[in-house]
Amino acid sequence: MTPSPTALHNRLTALFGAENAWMDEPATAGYAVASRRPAVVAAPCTAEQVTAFLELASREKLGVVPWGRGTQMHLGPPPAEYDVALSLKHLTRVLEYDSANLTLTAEAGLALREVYRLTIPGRQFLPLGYPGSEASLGGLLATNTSGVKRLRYGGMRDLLLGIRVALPEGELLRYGGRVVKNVAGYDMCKLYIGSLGAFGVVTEVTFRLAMLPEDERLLAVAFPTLAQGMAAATAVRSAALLPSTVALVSSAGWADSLPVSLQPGQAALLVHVDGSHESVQRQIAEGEAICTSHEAVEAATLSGEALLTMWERQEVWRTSSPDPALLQVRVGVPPSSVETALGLLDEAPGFCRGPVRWLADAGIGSVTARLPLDAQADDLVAQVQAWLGGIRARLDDRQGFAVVESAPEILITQLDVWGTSSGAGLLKRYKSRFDPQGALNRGRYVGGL
Amino acid sequence: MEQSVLQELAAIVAPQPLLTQPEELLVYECDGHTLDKAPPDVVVFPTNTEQVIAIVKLASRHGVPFVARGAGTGLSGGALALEGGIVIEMCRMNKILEIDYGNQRAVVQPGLVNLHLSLAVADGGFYYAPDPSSQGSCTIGGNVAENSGGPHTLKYGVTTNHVLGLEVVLPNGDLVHFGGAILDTPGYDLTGLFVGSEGTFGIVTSVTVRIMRKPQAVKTLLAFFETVEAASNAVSGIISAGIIPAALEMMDNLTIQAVEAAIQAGLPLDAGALLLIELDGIEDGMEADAQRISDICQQNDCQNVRVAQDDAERALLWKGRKEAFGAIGRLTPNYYTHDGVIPRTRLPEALTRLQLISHRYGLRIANVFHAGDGNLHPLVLYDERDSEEVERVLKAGHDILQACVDLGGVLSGEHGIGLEKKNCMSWLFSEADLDVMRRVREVFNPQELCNPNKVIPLRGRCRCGAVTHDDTPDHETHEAVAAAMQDAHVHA
Ligand SMILES: Cc1cc2nc3c(=O)[nH]c(=O)nc-3n(C[C@H](O)[C@H](O)[C@H](O)COP(=O)(O)OP(=O)(O)OC[C@H]3O[C@@H](n4cnc5c(N)ncnc54)[C@H](O)[C@@H]3O)c2cc1C
Repeated sequence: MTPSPTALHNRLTALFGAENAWMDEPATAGYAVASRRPAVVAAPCTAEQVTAFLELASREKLGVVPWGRGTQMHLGPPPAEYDVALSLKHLTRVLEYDSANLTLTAEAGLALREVYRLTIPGRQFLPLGYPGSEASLGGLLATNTSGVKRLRYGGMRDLLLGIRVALPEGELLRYGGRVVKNVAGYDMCKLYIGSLGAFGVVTEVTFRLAMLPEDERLLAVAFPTLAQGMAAATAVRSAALLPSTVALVSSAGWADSLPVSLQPGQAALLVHVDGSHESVQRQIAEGEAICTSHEAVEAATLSGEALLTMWERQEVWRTSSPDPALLQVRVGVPPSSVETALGLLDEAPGFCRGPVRWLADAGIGSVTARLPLDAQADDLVAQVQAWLGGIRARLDDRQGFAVVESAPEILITQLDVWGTSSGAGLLKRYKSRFDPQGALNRGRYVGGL
Repeated sequence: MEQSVLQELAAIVAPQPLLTQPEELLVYECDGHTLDKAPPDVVVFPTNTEQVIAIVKLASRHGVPFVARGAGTGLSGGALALEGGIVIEMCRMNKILEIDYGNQRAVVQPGLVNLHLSLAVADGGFYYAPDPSSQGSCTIGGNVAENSGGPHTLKYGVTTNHVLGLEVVLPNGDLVHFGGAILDTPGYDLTGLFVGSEGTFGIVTSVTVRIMRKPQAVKTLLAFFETVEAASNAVSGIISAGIIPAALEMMDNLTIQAVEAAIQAGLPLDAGALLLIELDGIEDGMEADAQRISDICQQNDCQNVRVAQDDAERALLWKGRKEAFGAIGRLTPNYYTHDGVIPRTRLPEALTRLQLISHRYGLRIANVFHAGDGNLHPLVLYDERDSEEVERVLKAGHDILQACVDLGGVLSGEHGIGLEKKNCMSWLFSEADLDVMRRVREVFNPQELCNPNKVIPLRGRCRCGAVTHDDTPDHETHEAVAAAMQDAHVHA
């Protein structure tokens, strides 16, 4: 039987000290996932404390939700059990910044912006998000969040070198290493990427860093139609350029942030290039030429502050916080099917009360779309369910997927947020092997794990 | 193995024959790691996924161990049938199933030779980036199992960074698909976990890989140094100046001699070391990067920098690098290749330690390796007919790995743990770490029939590989080397 909140609070106070365990209303409200609140919030100070706590949680069959900096807690259905919010806010030490080897080891609660702050003076960066990102390193890992510059710099799975992780049964383990190449043992780090904390609490991470480019520009180009923008994007991808992003954005919602004007129905292409001055100049010139030959309406090039702002807007928007009036969906497709995916998303369904706003990474094949919901719509749940099912069915033969990233609680609790995943049997075997009591994030992940 | 099992096996792959005669099995008793040998009972050549499923189900039903084999070029005993049983030779499943230039990917069967993929997409302006030096013979399936690297993986990443999806026959015969045609499919990254599992999680029957557009421009430099220390310092200098070339390879004098004898490229035989450095990408700005690299080399007492003048010269230099192991083979009846990794700024120390180990055991060690990644390849030269020398080779190997771990590195960068180094895993991982890896393996491979007893020693079972004959690091040797290091510093 689960202990009473007071008993639990006492136990956690004994483990972490009174200053690091709370059960009062304002504290627990700050850790709500949808309308669910934890009985107790606890903030261990060391990886060993995390481990000791997990052992207790497993024994007592507690429902635990690890909490980094809370920027993406709306992902997935709310937890089936929520006794303790395990805050990693004290695990923020930088353990080793080896600038000569371009690696960084830090505790998982550290915010990405602190990494930028540390590494920018040495002209290095961790190409996962943007300089002002509040997200914690562990949170980025658990949600498999890569940056918009992935095309050139690689994503989470390419940049992670090693982890330390506490398992529900009270073990504290280390995998990978601090060197950039390593095949000693199974690549256990991969198991935790995108696992939403389903079988362990990552307490420490090691990443490979990249050098800040000498120069950087963003080419923004307006096209009369999506089809023309898409054709230009394809041409850019198949030219001898090395862009770090090739993205398209909708006219809806983006017009204000762009240096070019967009009419409804038009689309803009964003090409981000970086490298040496000469190579950037050359790429911008070639990119412009390609766009001109695809009947661009207007083009502008951003650099410096303006570029940073635009970059940050894209990242912030992709990983935004939930809004009860919106349904946010992420669709993955092969790059050549991005246009088809956008077509599917743009057919504004009946439950939509305005145009769909989207950002499509045409290099990676990933589309984020936001549909403004009509709260008055009849039978909203059934409508969205049917729509999502239809999208998934049509993406299926393109080997794509659709994931609900954010939605009002009434939807998120009833929709199949993740869709089906192959190897479901294996996933279940895993979960039961590594978290037999289902202590971590119960009910939040793929297949209801 | 029971006759009835052999008959069933024969029926599955008919009309392809089985190999069962001792002389036919000789080739299969080891891979590129020749110090350990164990013959299988039978070798079978499936031609499609259905046959692989049937073979695996048969083996699972009868409790017969089995192991997949590609080209058998592995260097850690991965394809060795340690406990006998069936070798499932995948080389007949070598088709390219799909090439999709628009999405920059290809779907291939596992028996496809690595280089054949690059050749097949070359006319389209593409290539497959992971390029092990053995790429003319090793298979994509073997690469997936080992998470293989190569000279150009410094900039572009190793096999795992280029695999999008896998079709796998699990050890119970179930067919599953991991990942897919695109990145970040929801669910755990089982593709990532599978890559590098060294044939112990199941048999790959199809692989979806990324193919990359050939760079617009390439520039290849050779820099010669009087000593390996100077060359190592230049490597550190280049990396910490923030330049990540496409490739950054080192050869020491012994290797230069061997390679020059093989390819006659005009390499100076008196150079203590050379760096083979390649830049690729956008033409504009490349000259400036080349100049910066050249300056860093000069600051580190470089004797001379040579720039490849045309494609033919570039190809010749790479031929020298890729065939260096073979060239070393002309100097010695046998050599033992190690693969430890160290933080790349510690190369000078690592190479000093290698020299000490060479002196200590009276063995010649040639170095030809991926310097930019800090991935060493010391080749220890020996003659297998001299059993006393073999003993010294094993001890030297042990010390080499220990040195890598001491310097903050790991046991292997690309050749895998296999049979050879599994008993050294406890130097890097705690018993709890290893136990969780075992549990993961049990999720895939509960009967332990699929390539049994590799990578991590089974609980309570220990059939030892070449490098270590017991689990404990040899502290005495370790301390002696540390003391010698101290000495070297004092005298330097
Ligand atoms: C001269 C030489 C140079 C080399 N250079 C490099 C280098 O630069 N970089 C590098 O990384 N390696 C290098 N290697 C090592 C070796 O070539 C690689 O490990 C290669 O990937 C092995 O491929 P293979 O087809 O020969 O596999 P094999 O040796 O046949 O098998 C290797 C492992 O893969 C497993 N396996 C094979 N096929 C499958 C399948 N379909 N499904 C599941 N498991 C399978 C086997 O069970 C075994 O465990 C070199 C080797 C030699 C001899």
